[in-house]
Amino acid sequence: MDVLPYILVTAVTVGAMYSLATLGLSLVWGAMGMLNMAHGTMLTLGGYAAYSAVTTLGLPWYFGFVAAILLGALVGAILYYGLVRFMLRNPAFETNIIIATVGIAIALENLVLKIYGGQPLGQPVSLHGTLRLGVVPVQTQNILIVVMSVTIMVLVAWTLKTSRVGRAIRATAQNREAAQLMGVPIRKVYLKVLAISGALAGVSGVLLSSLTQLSPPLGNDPMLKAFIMCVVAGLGNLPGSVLAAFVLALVEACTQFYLGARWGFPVLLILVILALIWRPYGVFGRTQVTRL
Amino acid sequence: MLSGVARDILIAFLFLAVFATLPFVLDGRYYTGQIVTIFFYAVVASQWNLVFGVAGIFSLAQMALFAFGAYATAMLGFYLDWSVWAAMPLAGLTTVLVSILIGLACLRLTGAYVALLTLSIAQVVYFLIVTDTDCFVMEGVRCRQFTGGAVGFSQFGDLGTRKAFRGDWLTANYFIVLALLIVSMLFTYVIVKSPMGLAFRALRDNPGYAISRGIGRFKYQLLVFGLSAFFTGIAGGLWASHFRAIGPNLLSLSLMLFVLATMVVGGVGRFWGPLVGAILLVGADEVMREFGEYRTLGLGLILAVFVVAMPQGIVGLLKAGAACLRRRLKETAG
Amino acid sequence: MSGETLLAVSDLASGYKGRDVLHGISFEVPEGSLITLIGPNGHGKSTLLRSISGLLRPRAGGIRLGERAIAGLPAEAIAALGVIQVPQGDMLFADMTVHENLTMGAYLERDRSVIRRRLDEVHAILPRLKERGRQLASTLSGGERRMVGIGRGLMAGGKLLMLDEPSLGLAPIVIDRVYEVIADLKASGRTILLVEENPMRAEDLSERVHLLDNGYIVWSGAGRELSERSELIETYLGG
Repeated sequence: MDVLPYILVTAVTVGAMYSLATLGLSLVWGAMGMLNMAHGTMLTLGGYAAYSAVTTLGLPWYFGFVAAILLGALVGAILYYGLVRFMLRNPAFETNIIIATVGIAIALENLVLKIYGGQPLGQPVSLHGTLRLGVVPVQTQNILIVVMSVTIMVLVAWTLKTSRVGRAIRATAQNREAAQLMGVPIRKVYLKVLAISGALAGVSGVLLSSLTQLSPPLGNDPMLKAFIMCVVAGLGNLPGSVLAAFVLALVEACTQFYLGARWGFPVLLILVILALIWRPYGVFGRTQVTRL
Repeated sequence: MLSGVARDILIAFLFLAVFATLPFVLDGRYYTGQIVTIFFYAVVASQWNLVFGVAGIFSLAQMALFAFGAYATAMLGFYLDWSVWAAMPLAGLTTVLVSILIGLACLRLTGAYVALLTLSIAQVVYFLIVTDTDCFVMEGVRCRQFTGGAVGFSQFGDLGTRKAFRGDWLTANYFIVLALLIVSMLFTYVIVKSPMGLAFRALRDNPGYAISRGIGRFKYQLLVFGLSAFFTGIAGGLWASHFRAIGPNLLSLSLMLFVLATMVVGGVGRFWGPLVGAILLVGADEVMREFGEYRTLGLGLILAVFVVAMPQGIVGLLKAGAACLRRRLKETAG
Repeated sequence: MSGETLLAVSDLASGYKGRDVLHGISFEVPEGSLITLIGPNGHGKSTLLRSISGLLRPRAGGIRLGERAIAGLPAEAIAALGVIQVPQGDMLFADMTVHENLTMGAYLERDRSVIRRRLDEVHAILPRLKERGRQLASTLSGGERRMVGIGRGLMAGGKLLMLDEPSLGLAPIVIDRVYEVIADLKASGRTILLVEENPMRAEDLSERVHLLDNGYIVWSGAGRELSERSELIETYLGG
């Protein structure tokens, strides 16, 4: 089929981008039990940070990524210091944090609207040009996205596996109390996890806006899609969510091609719902025995 | 002091006395109209409170149900020329069906997962409506989409109060919406105080125990989903009939946030929470009108602050304060 | 064995959601000794260890480690001071290997050579752990998991080792092995606080045994005394 290579290119590109977002979300859920509904806004802020860095400050294009990473990490840290750390004691944390982050998300989105206006802007941090891979012409931007995403993911995976911080994060995610007994400073871990996921979101935002455009609600739908990719894999399962990101990106690409762009998200959602009815803990999730 | 039920009846009478006289006391239509919106929000929030606060299900689909009721009523009036009075009950019933469908899809999961899925469903529906571009009907040279698209629906009929009461139509509508508020809150009260309400609360507070006593989680959660949808759908239909125009903004995140905030600020799970919250929030919104574009920002921050600092809400705070006062009185007396 | 008090708990009250589980608990753990807490399940033994470790904030009373008051400190600070708990049910890091679990035990130690040395010591006491080094913790048997838990606790170095029901859920022959290890640890001079539902194995090892019932210490005595007080065992521990 003639269209298949194009679908694949889209799927791989979008999948790479989503897996960055799912990584951040899964990390925060696994380590803290927190569904960060402000993640989408951190995406948006990253995209705009890159825009400002390049357009307003006149820095070279790769600084856009630096700005996005820094702002994302900063927002993550502020979320911890200003919000999360007061709420951890409450047993209804899981629920309350969702409401609180929804509030913050909308407030921040409005701030962006106020500062930059509602008109869509072009993302200056992007490459132009095409490359020919076999029979298919591929935009260099797509290649950049895939390369960057994969590199970052490998970096994060390696950090988690080998570094002291990484071990502390994994330990906290797998058994928080045992980690505490070993002297892991879990509040610092929470701070670092939020900062890291913010940085990841920031980069995702730059990449996403380079494919589409910058607008205040940029991160909202991608965040929801990334979330349901995490959920379908089993929340907290990092490699699973990356796999789910690619698979679902492929499904979305096919759907959009054959049925039209607007049916991508709905079809995705229906599939995820069906998958969750079949396996409520996620396709790769482990059934957890809850001590009542 | 007064027992629970007696106290609630007293509070209800106080509220009713105030609400019944307000339209005749207030200066002009604007404020009367604002109180009507308070009633609407209170109805939806009180039904949402059944699901969220009493049964402990973190559903974010309530506004989607509200919108469904509104759209159903509007579309029945627009395409089939139904009177809104006939359309609303049907809208209510079909909203119950939709709610049960959503429940079937989402309620096998727990906690935050339900929030995600229901939010996604609401957003997808919003997305589908706004991106609907296929012409369904032609109106002269203008194209109308089946779902109304980004424009929405208008001119599908109304409550008939303009014809019957002429200049006083707003006051008439006011009392119609107030009647809906009274009925729906009564409905909520009966459910909460019934054995069913006890079962919902048991599932929320101690699921293991409840299940071991034979309260099937899925079945009961589906039940509360269905029950809460009826008046939500009717409220949607009434909203459409009152404002005579609806659009996809009913599914917007900021509106959902507003109604969510009324529940949180008022006090999740508290009977009077939604009404108190609606009054406070519409009031605050009035004040924030001065700030123009910062309105939504302020709203988001208020929600976040309340969840952090006062998760039990205003009503919870008042109750705690009253209990503290009672204890102090006892101590000084005894 | 210096005999000086390493851990002193005085008038400790602790619990959950406003309800106290522990009432006025007082006891001491002299350096180099093995002290055992026994009592029926649900009567506060784990709550006590959690309070000492800082997982639970005591409502009233004091806990001293040597000269230092530690009640109310965060868990990581208490671990850093050398109070190490091997928790009930192991609480291993399921998705980490045995080796990774052990190294997590030495999280607070930055010096690689010290970690290496401790690992060798633990391997010497528990050779099975070396064999199974690369195996995921979730694939181990109950007895092996227990050993990993104890090994992980040893990796921290520490001054006081607290073990919460080390015989829980194990076959008798495995329990024998666990108590061999505990006896060896005691012989090498470690200070140990042991919590068990059934004291049988610990009697001979313990300098002192405290019986916890409904959150109160109802009896204290030397380990050997316990076997003579069979009526205690029957009343509180169901024979």
